[in-house]
Amino acid sequence: MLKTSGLVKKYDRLTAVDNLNIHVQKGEIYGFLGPNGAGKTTTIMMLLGMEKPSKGTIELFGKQMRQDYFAIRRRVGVLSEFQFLYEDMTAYEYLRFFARLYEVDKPDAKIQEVLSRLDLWDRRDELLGGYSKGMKQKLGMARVLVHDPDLLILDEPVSSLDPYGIREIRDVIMEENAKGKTMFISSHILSEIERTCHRVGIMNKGRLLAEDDMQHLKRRLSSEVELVIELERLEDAVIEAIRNERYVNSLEVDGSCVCVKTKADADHRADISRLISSMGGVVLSLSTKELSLEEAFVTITENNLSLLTKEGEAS
Amino acid sequence: MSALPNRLHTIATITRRELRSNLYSLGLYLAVSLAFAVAIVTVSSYVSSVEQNGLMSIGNPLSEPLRYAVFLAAAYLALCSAMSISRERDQGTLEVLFYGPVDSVSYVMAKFSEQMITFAGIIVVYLAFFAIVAAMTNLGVGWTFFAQALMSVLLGSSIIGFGILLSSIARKARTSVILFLSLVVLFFAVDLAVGILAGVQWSEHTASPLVFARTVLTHVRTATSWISPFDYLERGVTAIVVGNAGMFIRRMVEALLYTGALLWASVIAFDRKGVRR
Repeated sequence: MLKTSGLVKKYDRLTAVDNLNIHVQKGEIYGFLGPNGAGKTTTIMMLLGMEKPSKGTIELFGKQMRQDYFAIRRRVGVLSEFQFLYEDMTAYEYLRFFARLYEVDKPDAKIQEVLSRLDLWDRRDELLGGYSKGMKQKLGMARVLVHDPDLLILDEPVSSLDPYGIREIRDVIMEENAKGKTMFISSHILSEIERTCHRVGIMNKGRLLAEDDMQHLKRRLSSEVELVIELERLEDAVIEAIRNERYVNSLEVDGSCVCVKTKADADHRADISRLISSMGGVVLSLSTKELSLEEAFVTITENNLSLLTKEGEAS
Repeated sequence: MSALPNRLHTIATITRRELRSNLYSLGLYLAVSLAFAVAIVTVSSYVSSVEQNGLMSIGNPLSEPLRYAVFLAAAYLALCSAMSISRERDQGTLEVLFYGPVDSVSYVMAKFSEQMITFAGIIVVYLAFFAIVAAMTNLGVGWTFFAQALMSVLLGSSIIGFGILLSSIARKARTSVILFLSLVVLFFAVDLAVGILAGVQWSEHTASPLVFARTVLTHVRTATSWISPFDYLERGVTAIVVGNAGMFIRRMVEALLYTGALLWASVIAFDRKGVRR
């Protein structure tokens, strides 16, 4: 659906994007993360054909943009971070213009559908100059949806929205994905990426540092895993036995719970559970304390670059 | 699949939106009103002359007022053209447009079409206005008047193309307007300077720097007459007014070739400048 191969963008001496290889599958929601200046926007601009790559190729729907420029453009919907609208138009006129541009079948019905979905139908006859930031963002999303694209490229889709608006957009993203639409989402709101995306790519200083599904990514980034074990009865012998296991880094007792930090080389839950049972203990619950995407993001971009690099080299 | 049908659709859609926007623009009505005012003043002077002298000998009395009106409309549209792309780039709406099935050729052609249709619309309004003036004053309207009116649209294309080129180059609307006005002032300044120096009485004692300046300015004037779009319009209108068909066709071809070159350069400049703010 979307594939970049050896993509490079250089501005004089600055390498904004360096050897980027991304492959987004059909029906996938791909989260594209990175701090400011990481090269995300430059990448998106190259995907859209608005910036010419210094090197490398981009394929959308199996074709390069120049091979079928207009057909590819009709199948892509793009939402940018900031909404630049024709403020002398009403919402209805604005969408009517884009529906005509994309040659949408039955445009009036489609406009009503998308405006209703985004709670803007009652405001359709108001001039866009009077729209709030959040309303403009939602109208931008309506514009993206009006021609029913197969691939949605969303740059900060929920910025400037209130929690209700964020939920509306999130629902729209999930509904569209359920219909088989592919999404490429760049966002700073990591909780949103974590909720919606199947796979995440993390970029820093022009390079793709990590690309994986959420679970694997978190595991790769963790040097240790924190397990929270609730026991029926806390016994010193059991606690000491756990502490002495070779894969346990540290252990803390917190009320009736034991927090165990294990090495991240493997899943040690079964080992611990067996050990406790063998000593007559009863496990009431055992959970893994997950690394949030935010923690993973910070870890990747700030601290553990070498970890990933070594991992990449080793593999 | 050929890009042409897609481009034509894009051109038609964008042109339609822009024309609608033009209709709501106060500047259009002010420019036309100003043109009417200038035409009325000119026609009034003719009528006064007839009243005072009882006779006036002009082949096409309404040609001159029409020429002024056409120049005013062309100047207004050139200014609009000079802002058209840069303003949209500045506002960010250009980038949004290019997320869709729009390329630089279709966009530049849409901007050109919009201004040309507006120009044609203004000329139609002018014709109606001058028909009323002719009926009220009994001043004659010959075929050259109609030819001048209709052909002005094609001749004016180079002025619009010129504005679009400047707009493609600039990132901000203000920059393109300043650039446009500076060039117009430069063209007229060269014209004026050549006129002043032409009026100087030359003798063997005339200072050599003045002679040098005259020579240089004459060459500069020749060059600007091929660059300034107003010269293309002026030469074409003159050819119609003097009734020289061969000269007129030559002028028309020159103007259209120049317009083509300007639009081609606009597409290249646009691609280089990009669509982002």
